[in-house]
Amino acid sequence: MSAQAQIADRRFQHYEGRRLGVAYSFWTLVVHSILWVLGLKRSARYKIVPIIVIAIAYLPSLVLIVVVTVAPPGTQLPGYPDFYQFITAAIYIFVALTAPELICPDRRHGTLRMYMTSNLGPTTYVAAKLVAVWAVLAIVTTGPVLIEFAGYSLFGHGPAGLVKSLETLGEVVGSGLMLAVFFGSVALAVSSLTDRNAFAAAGIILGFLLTGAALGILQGPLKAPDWVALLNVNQLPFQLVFRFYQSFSTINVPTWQMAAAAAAWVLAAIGLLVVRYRAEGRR
Amino acid sequence: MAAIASADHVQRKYGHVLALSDVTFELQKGVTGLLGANGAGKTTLISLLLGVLRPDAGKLEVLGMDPLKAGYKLRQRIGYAPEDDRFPPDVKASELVRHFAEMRGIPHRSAVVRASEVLFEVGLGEERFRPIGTMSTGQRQRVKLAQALVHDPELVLLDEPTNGLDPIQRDDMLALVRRIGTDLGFTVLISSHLLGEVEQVSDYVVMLEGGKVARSGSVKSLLGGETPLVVEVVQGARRLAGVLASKGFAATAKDDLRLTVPASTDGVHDAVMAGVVELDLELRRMEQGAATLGDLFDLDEAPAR
Repeated sequence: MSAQAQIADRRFQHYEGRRLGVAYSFWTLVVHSILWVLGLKRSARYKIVPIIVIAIAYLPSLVLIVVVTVAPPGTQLPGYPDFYQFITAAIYIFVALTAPELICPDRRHGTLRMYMTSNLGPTTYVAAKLVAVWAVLAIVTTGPVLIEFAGYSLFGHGPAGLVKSLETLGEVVGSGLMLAVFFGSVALAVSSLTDRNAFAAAGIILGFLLTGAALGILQGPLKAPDWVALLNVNQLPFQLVFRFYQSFSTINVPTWQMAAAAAAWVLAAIGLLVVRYRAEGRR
Repeated sequence: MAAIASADHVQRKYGHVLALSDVTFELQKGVTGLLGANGAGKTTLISLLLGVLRPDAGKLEVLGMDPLKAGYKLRQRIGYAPEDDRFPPDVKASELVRHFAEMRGIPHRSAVVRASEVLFEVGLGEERFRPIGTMSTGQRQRVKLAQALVHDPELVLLDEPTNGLDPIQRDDMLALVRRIGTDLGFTVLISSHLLGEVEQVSDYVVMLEGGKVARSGSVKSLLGGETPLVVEVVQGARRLAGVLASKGFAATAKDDLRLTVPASTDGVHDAVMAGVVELDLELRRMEQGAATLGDLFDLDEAPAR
């Protein structure tokens, strides 16, 4: 036996170290949820779908960079708000994949009750899940447009001057985060109504598509008033992005009303989540 | 000795349904069995102790705190294993236990070490890196127990920890619960609808019946200071109890095969023999000291192995 050899006492020891509070457990759950939904620290099959959807979201921006390198000066290139039309489907799919996966398994697997009896309560649990879904969605709502911005700036098609560049960067990040917050909150609220990921995903996709179609009919052939467009969860956030960039928007209501309507949707979604999980915690 | 937890005239309703009514008891250090049929209010009582539910009336105190007001400061001193054991199938046991240690405030490095230690302690040392979905029901129950112990709580609440286990796994789990209450020094409240289980592991018992505390106290005191005389016959124990009662003996027959009667009463053995002869019964056993809580109270026994 070497002189350094030790006998390790592997028996259960009582814990006398630090016990941390709500903030620590909150961020632990945020990080855990982000890794979980992206399939990190999980087996390979859970990584495949997120990687594919993220690749689909980033592909148009990479193609655009290639186009930018060969485009002569003065070529009309897609603006930042226009770029979202290339990745709308990827955003919807990512929303429908991530939001249910963040909260449905906890109820289905019975781990929710263990969270409710940890450092977190219903409100802090919901807050952690919201931060996680916003962060994950920002990967596809902010990242591709940031690449477009970087490509335009590097190859002479970006905004002129430092101040204008920083202003545009703020618009890019702000728009992406607004989309992540809007879609993430609404999708998480829809997901809170069922334990099954598939039902939640179908509800999210159908909800977005049917709302868009129904309100399109109301405003088109049926000549509904302009404010009805504020109910369109499919179009409202994207049209608000156009207003961020001071571009043309198809919704004919003042910007403040659009921003207020978007905020109301988000608050209603958060309210529904808190009510659902407070009730769930008491079960 | 100060109580670890106490309930004073606690009441809880779900709508018009009274789940708990006038519940009063004290939880002492050691292992306490919370016994009651399904729907007797066991899970409701555990939820009240955790501060997840609010009592409609009465007062609760756990580890010197009001569960509703103390919030996470109390919850991180309690270990809780719910009845449900459908954990995420692709998560490894060590990761799940480590995660819930962190959720109760244990820093990451300590949580990793403690997860390993506690999984060894519950007999899953070799299996700790296995995904939970590949584990047996017994192993999943042990994972559930490990996550309740990992943060070294002062009170452990186990809600039906033997659910779904076969008799051998059940005995192993009960032995483990007994060991964490004695060797490791945890205060444990274990709920069960099976009398035999509670009797096997508990120092104290709280019996719930229709939302009310039917009896509570130490198992020894409930069995009585003296051990009763147990009489088994092939058939007719109820008639024999009637005959004994008519002669002034406090005999109790739980079914038609077995009765108990205080052994210290003068002439009880002669009275039993006379009764057996009078009723022409076939006596199988007459023994002092083999009584169980089930002999004393009309409660369901654990299914026979």
